Amino acid sequence: MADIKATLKALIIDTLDLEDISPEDIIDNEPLFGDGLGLDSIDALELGLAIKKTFDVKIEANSEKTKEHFYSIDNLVKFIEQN
Amino acid sequence: MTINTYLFPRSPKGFFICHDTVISGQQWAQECIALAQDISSYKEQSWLLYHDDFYQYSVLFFALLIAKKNIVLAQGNQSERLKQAANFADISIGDFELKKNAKELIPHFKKSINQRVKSSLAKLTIDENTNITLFTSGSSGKAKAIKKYWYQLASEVETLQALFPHTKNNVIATVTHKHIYGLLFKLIWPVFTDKNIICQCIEYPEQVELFTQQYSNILLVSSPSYLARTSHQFSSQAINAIDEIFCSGGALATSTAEDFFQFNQQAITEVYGSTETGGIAWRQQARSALWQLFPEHQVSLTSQNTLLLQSRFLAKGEYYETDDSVELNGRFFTLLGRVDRIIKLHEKRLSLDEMETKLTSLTNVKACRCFILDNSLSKTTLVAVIELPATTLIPKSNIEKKQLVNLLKKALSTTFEASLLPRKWRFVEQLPFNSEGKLVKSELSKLFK
Repeated sequence: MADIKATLKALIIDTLDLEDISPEDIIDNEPLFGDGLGLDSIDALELGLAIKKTFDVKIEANSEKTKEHFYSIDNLVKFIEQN
Repeated sequence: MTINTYLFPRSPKGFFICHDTVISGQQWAQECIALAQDISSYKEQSWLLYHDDFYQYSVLFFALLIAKKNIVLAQGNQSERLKQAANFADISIGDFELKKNAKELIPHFKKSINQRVKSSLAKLTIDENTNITLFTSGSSGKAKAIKKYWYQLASEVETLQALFPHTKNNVIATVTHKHIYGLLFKLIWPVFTDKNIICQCIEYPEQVELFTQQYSNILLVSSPSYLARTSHQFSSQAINAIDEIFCSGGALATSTAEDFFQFNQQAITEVYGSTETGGIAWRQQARSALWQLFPEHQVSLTSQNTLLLQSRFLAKGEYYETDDSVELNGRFFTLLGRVDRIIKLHEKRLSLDEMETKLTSLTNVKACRCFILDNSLSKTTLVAVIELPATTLIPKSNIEKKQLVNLLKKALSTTFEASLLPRKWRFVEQLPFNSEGKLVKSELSKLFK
């Protein structure tokens, strides 16, 4: 699980080309989008595409559930593990 | 079909599809009317509206319209944005629970529990002079308020309906309802033309897929950024269900237009316009790269080759000079680029002057330059170069830099939404002015290599 977390954080930083943000700045249970990291819906879309490719997961069409899965690192890890 | 945009649609035939709930147009209209009765018992004339939920927003918007109240639409819910918008309003309505700032300035609407004296709303007409204020980035370095009369929006909806009469039955949007594009294409136009509206804002192609399994005849309201990233993501089944795609907010990359046409047989209809002007022109790149003016719009060229526009979408007697220079040929034109310092970041307009003014107002920022770093085709990264008043203040380690960046970001976030903040920062003793005293972008860009 720690592995997935590290990979995810690196993936977020890499995919979205974030500078001045290191893996430890991405707090496991804090929201990824909105005010926290300043990511918007296009970032969410890009991240979704990258996660799909890296972890070979299926993104749910139910938007409430997807929002929940992408809410934080913790949720993403749970989502990837269940897939 | 001809539409009457001055008469509230009492029983639209379309449905509002909100997650698992389907609400009939009739029920929606009843909710609007009931709320309008409450609202019209208030003496306040200008109402600040903000709501993240599309359905709630749609009810509030139309309730205010039929109660003949002027509407002020906040650009975002950052404290300074709300405060600015509150200056234009007497009372607020909507989803303000988390944001106290606006409430401190103006009262907030509370649904009456006791039976108030209901004013009669026999005539459910919409007054042509009811106005709607939107905010957008202005060149003055401050967000500017754009006041639109209902007759302007009504003209635009009528024109859209005349130009694109066969638009499909189920509307899905990947853009927010809080800006003019979503307001017109996801709410006002569909409501007057009996469309079904999928209320939730779509983020992932998978969500579009879900709706394409349940509905056909889909009209997708989207943006260049979204379409550029999804051109290869839709299944053939989804593509078959999507009959029409509208795209606005910026220019769609030719490669995206070609991809959609080649793989999906979709000619995307792009609309060029702005908050101030509404739609100006449209095109389908699969057919022609030239923009075609909306019917009845009159234009001439200024000395800077920008368009001087006269149209029914503008307030009566008004002209508007666009910020883009063009090559005009009859009723067709090619866009050449913006002449000012307002940029589009993921279709959101941002005034670089406003951001720089804000930054230089901070202690220890002597001067600064914000600009878009052109690093690749699909990515637009906003970056900032900050001139500090002393060499000793320049961060010596990554940790120091991060602290400084966070401080600056925090200061900007009272005005700008988090996603519009610069993604990369450089700190210098002196901005690299050239011998002519100009800041050259290529020199600034080198700092980010």
